[in-house]
Amino acid sequence: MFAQKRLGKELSNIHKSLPPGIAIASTPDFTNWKMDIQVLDSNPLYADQIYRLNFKFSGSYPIEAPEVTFIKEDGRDIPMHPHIYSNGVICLDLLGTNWSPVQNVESVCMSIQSMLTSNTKNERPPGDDTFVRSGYRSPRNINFVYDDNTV
Amino acid sequence: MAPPRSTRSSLQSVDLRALDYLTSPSANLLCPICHSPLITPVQTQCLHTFCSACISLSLERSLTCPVDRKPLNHDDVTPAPIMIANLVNDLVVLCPNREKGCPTTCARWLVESHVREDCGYATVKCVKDGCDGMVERREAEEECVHEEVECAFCQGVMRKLDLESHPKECPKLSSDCPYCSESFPNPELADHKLVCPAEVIDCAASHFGCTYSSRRSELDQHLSGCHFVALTPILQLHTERIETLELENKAIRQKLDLLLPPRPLPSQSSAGASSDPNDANSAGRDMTSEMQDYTYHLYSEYEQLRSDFERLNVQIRELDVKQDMARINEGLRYNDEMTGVRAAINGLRMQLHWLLASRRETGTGGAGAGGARSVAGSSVSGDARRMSDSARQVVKL
Repeated sequence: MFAQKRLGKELSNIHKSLPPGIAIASTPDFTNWKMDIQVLDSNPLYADQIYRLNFKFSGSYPIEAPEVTFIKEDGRDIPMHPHIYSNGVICLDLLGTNWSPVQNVESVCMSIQSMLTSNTKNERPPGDDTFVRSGYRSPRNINFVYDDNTV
Repeated sequence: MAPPRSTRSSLQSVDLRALDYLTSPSANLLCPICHSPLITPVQTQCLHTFCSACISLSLERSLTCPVDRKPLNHDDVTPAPIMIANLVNDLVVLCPNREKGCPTTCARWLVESHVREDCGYATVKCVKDGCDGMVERREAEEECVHEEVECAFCQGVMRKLDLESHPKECPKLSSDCPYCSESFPNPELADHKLVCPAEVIDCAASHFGCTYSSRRSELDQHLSGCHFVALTPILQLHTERIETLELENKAIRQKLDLLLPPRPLPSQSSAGASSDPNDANSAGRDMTSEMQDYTYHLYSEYEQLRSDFERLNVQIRELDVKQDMARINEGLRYNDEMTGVRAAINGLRMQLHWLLASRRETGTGGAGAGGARSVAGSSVSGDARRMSDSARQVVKL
């Protein structure tokens, strides 16, 4: 109830206006939204690419963080980034320990957008292969160590 | 002048969070957590304002201010200035019974009393003492609608509330068929509806694509000439086959998923190649690359086993050599001991010889007969030889 009311307000807000480079892909219900983001400057890693983010909301949103991952869909790929695993899982403190209920879908999109914009390394996180092979699909249950503040 | 019914208060509770507002309120009056106008506003040490319920939920998860992430305790949260509370309480809301038809709008602080005392659409307890029924306030007149009454036609017993809709069900009354407008007794109406010639129905093959529809009486003509109807048996057969194949496919896919570990996403190099529009092709490539992975896995396992085996072989050979050396050393030791024993026995024999010789000398000194001496000498020497023989035998043993 609480989560739906709040998501309903967010939805009407983002339907009204969204920052450049962020768009709604689909919002079928109040448990799963898909957003398209793109990097607007001329970063050669992400130029002319659109990426798709998948938001999963629990009943205790916004007290609890949504699960946010990149997904391959409609020809969208997973962006190369030292904090993004090739199965789309994003290692970002904002989505884990540093989540705050003041955040919303728009602010999360903007954070991830700027995380891409400032990146210059064309690489995956260390241990990407074993991580992907281990079959983690959801960013929950993973204790990321947020050790790198440079990116 | 309050109407008499307002004395019956509604038990319906109002959830302030679920209220809808007449106009969208200023963004400054919204709680940053629930994005709704503040309810029981509270203020933190760092001067941020939240709903009381929202901030306590948030503090249960993390003891920081959600806005600036400064450390925050339950004790650091105090009621917000009354002015803020007044501002949000004065916002105009719509009655929560709006969907039932109540057009009332009022200030938020009044809405609870509106529902409790005035709203005609709030549910209240029935007017009659001892009746447990609930009724909307506007319908709660002086008589109880939960009383049981009898239908004048069928003599059935029902609540007064249901009497209004009863004529449509009463078995003694007739109703009109919605298609042909003829009147039928209620129990027969359902049967008639199934065969009413005036009802407009779709062609029997409509789910295969026929768009024709007409009155039931005229449909037979169409059915005899409809191509879709003629094809129905074979189309039906195909649908069933597709369904069974889909089921089979699903089962096989599940089995395959069980057999294969979670499939890793294609690596960077194959990602470029999989932009190939031919989907089946790339799926095939996926399969082969997976098979290759397995072969590599088996190869590496085999290599490991081989190296293990070689290592064991070398160890066994080393152990063999060690054991041989130990055995040779032991043999040498025994050899030494043997020569020692042999030397000791030789020494004993020498002593025996000496003893025998000295004894012979004392014997010849007493006798004096040459023959006898020679006889004795020969016998003694024979004895000595025998003795030495036996001594030699002992040594041999």
